[in-house]
Amino acid sequence: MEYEIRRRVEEHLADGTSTSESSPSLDLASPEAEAAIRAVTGLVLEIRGDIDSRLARKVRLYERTLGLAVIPVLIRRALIRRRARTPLARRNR
Amino acid sequence: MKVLHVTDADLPARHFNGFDLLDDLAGHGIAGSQVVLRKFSNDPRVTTLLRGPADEELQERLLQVERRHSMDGLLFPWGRLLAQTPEFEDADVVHYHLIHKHVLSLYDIRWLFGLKPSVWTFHDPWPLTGHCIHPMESTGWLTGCAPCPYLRREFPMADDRASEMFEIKHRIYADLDVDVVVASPWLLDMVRRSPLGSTFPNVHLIPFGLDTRRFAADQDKNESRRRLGVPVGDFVVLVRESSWEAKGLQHAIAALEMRTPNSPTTVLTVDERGLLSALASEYRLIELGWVDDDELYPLAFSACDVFLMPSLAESFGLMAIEAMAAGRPVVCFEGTALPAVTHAPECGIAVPWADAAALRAQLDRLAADPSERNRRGNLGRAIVATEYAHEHYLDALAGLYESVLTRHDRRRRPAGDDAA
Repeated sequence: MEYEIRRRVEEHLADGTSTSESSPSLDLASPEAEAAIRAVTGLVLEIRGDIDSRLARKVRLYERTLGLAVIPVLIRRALIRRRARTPLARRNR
Repeated sequence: MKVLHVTDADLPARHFNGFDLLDDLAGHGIAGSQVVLRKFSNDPRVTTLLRGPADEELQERLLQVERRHSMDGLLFPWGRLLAQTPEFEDADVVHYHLIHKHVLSLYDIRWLFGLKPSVWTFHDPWPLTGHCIHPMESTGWLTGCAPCPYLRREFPMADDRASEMFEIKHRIYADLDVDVVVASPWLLDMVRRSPLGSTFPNVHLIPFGLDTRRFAADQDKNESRRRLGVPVGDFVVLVRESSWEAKGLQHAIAALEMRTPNSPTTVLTVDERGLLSALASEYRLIELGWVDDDELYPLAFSACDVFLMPSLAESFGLMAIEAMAAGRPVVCFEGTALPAVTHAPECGIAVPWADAAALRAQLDRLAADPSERNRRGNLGRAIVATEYAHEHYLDALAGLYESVLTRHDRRRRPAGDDAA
């Protein structure tokens, strides 16, 4: 359950596409969903931390030179690095 | 005492989101600060949580995720950052305002409310519903929002998860340590009837206050009309020109285009522009657009003869008391906060909900009867001066903060201290 919601959120954060049509229905009110969503909130802050500490200079540079369109790419890059570090992601590779 | 106000933005809705209270409550010995998602002022007392384009991008993506998966206020992480701000740490009381505008995750509010004595103003019925800001004709909020026939209403859902969101709120609200504020008897009644709202033990009715000096009673109508370019001899109907369904503009249009007016009539509007082209052949249209100017805004009320406020949903209706302060009668629908706020039928005029023909009948009657307009206008001024006086509002809030703080202090104090 937790992985399913995390996966969905990560996909959306990465490219904005929806998987809701093909994914099984989740009961948002279940305790499992609550635990997963709480974990996702933490994940979101971790992603933000990555952007702040490692990519902030690049973001500013890209903002000045290329406009805002590049930011999703940077977020995606941060996510890919994070996935590569997590045991769950390693198992699924 | 230090009070922190938490909301989505500082300047929009400043009259009721805590921003104006930073100055207004200083005279009551309350040092205010505000934490917002987005800051538009240069006020050093306001701190922003979104720190630039990267955070804006993140917020937008979270909104997309929530909408596609039919969640409503679960994923936003900003509450955790809020708790780390010096303003939060320093605050004696935290007052939450428009937090449902994607500021906090519902899952964080129990934790946040436990950290500091907390006050939460319900600015609309969202805390009592499965997803919508205003249920309007729906009664699902009384029974758990299953099913929800109005998924497109703000905040829209892709699939019907309203009952699941309702259940989540029900679970979170149990034993929540917060004092709730509502501004109107109408919303207080909803809170008491709601399975969600009835879980809150401390609910306070504190109507918003108005600085009546801005809407001077002796404001000269003709001078106001000259300044706004409104013909002095016309009958003038003021309307809020808003595309938001809840503001009911479609019913104002239906009422006005029902038949040709008996005398030259101007429709004066504030907010948006270009939504009233259907009326252009029969009425003179003067669209002021969004008026930020504190001097110009009251002129719109002063220049009109009647304020037509056909809101289908309104939790208080600040514009109604602004019209009353200017001495103008208000015509509105039943089934919202407005009849009670405007003291209908003695002062305001309320007609059956969504009945455009009834609106029109009242407009025609008022157009033909200046003495009734004056009588209702004078009564409105008197009501605002007593019931919606700004000082009363500030006194009530300051008293609430004091009582909340005292209760929390007493709870924290060891049992033996009371005897001493």
